[in-house]
Amino acid sequence: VSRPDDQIEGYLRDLRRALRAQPLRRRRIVAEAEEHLRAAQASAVRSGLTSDAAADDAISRFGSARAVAAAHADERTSSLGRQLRIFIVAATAAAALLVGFDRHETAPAQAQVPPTILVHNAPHQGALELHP
Amino acid sequence: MSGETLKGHLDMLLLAAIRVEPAHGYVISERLCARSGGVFDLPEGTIYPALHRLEHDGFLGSRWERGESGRRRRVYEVTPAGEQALQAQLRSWEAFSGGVAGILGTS
Repeated sequence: VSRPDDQIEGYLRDLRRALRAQPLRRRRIVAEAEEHLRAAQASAVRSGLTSDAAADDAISRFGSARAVAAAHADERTSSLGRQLRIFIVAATAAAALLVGFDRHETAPAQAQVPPTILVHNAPHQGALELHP
Repeated sequence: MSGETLKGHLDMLLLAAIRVEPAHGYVISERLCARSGGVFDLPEGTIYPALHRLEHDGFLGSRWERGESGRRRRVYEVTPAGEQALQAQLRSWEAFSGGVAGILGTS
């Protein structure tokens, strides 16, 4: 049974404050941290440390509350960035497909002309036509 | 070994450590340290963001379990997608380390 305000409780309070996360995610992170720290403390006590020394050792090995919160924030940021990149690629591909489909459906006569590559937005020239 | 050095390989190491047997975070960090002979001794709290990301990406599953102490703990296990990703990373690692060993003349 833990004392009401031991080192681990203090650490978890700091971690809770340092985390920038939604409440549900924050609760999970703090719950996992507590389980980890209590398990590490119990293991160190079995190795012969006092309860206080074992708690200090467990906290030291876990990393500072600020560093752990920052690691979670970094992971979240890169994960959101990855999702955003996937969304942009998917949206671009979908838009390209739609534009291609629309051109094919609305301008069947263009299919009769020789192959032409249209380059839009070329500097100062509007659209360039390159005949291969 | 510093966390930065490990960072690029952490996913592979975590998947390999968890594949042995489903485990909670403390046991996973103990395995990483013990199986590396103490070389991979990174701040234990920093494995959780990686575990959460691997779970989010579908490479790990997790569930709450009641431990011997009566406390709830989150136990992670490798999914079939995680197993495939691990095999791909192992092939890549073997090619890379074989190439480096060849250049260094240690193979």
